[in-house]
Amino acid sequence: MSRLTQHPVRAASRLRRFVPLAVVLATTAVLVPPASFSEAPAALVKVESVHRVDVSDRVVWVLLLGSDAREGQSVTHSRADAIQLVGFNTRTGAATAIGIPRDSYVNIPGHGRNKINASMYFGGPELMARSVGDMVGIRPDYVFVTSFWGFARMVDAIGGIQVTSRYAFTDPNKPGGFRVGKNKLNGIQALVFSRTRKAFAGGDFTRSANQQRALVGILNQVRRSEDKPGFMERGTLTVLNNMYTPNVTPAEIYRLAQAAARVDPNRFSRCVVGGSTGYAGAASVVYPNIGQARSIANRVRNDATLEGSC
Amino acid sequence: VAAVALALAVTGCTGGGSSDGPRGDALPDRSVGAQPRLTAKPVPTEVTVGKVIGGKLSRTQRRRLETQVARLVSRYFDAAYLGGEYPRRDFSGALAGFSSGAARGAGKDRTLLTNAGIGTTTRVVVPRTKQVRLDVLVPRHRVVGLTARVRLVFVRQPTDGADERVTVAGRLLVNRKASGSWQIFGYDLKRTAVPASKGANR
Repeated sequence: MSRLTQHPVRAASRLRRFVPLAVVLATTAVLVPPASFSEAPAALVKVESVHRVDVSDRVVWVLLLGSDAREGQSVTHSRADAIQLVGFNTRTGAATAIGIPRDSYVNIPGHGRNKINASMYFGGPELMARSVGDMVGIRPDYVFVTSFWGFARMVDAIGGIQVTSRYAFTDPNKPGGFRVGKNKLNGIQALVFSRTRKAFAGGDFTRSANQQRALVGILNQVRRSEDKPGFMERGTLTVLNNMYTPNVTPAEIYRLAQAAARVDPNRFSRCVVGGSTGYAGAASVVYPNIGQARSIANRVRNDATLEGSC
Repeated sequence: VAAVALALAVTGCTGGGSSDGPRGDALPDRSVGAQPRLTAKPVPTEVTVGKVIGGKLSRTQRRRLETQVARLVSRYFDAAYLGGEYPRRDFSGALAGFSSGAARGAGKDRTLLTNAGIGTTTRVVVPRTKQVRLDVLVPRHRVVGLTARVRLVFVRQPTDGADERVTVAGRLLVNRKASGSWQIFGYDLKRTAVPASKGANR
């Protein structure tokens, strides 16, 4: 008698491929009469899986900020070097990141027009959230701020990340430099990858796109490791120790972390708000394409799913 | 690591009786032509604390946590898979230990999160193993959440066909409700069914 054993599979795609096979084999099993009690005609293994994390019935929007504070400076009242508005849908596993160039010249509530990254200097993460909300049209549910060293520590804590770079460039912290394609990075190297701007013709826009590539790298690493005992708890603790999370309890952060880990990297859309560069007085600025920003926001607001291009 | 075997909500073979709740050992079915009915023995829920991240748990805290989470998980296993009267249609209370959002959003997952998909074609369910391992997050001396790595094994005797050995394994994500009690706010479970060997039925 034939004996077929299918071992547990993880990827949903593999599972989907397996299901028709299981149906065929199960049908075969039914058609062949059992020889005796509890003996089956084939050792068929049927594996199915389910997952879900309860955070919210709607899309959760998180504003991720990288502060440019140096040692001794306030992390939450310095300028924001990285500005990413990320929405994730815990029902579908879809997510979208909207990258906002740091030098975007916008209206800051109560402070007139200025670079958007000055919002955090003027009014902390709360004002930063208002400025981003006014610009994009989505008010974030949560704001997380980290420092340079906090970001590097978090990347190290999950064992480093792999990013796919569009450009080759050099930095003393990465022997051999960053190459086009896949790069394995430790915390400091991930920080360099996310901060470098002058090496690229696209400047601020390319930097924002690289920050999103680093987010994908983090997500992939988390997805690879989330089954390891204690990994999600250790990761949450690292966030608690290295991120400023106003008005969010540790229990809520744990829940958010578990939910974020369910984002499917293949359903993670990324856009950087475009615009033109110029000067406001002596300052080099980006005049962001507000129409594009709001168009993207309107398309992803309810399901975090971006159909088509940015 | 202290292993605590908690004889919580011991669930027996179900089927053929008239009570609503789980039963103890069942008598073999002597009707002509019927398959021998499986018999069940009490199966305790084995709970261990694995990783403790961010702080320490005193022995008392650890015991209390093990007991509380074992009760939560055991009640879920019983309500979803092991308890009730088979053939069984009603699984409406099976996710009572879940957060309202997790239970409400479960949707089609209920066919795997419970025996709802096979309840009416099942004659008997006999538990074999109930194991739970806890990875606990304890920042600032307070347990804020944990991952319960679970493994439930039971043998299912269908109304027609060969017995199956069913394993439900994976992660249940657990946190406190405002009331202080624990709830399951997320799940990542796999369910595997294989033909049961004769040995597995004993």
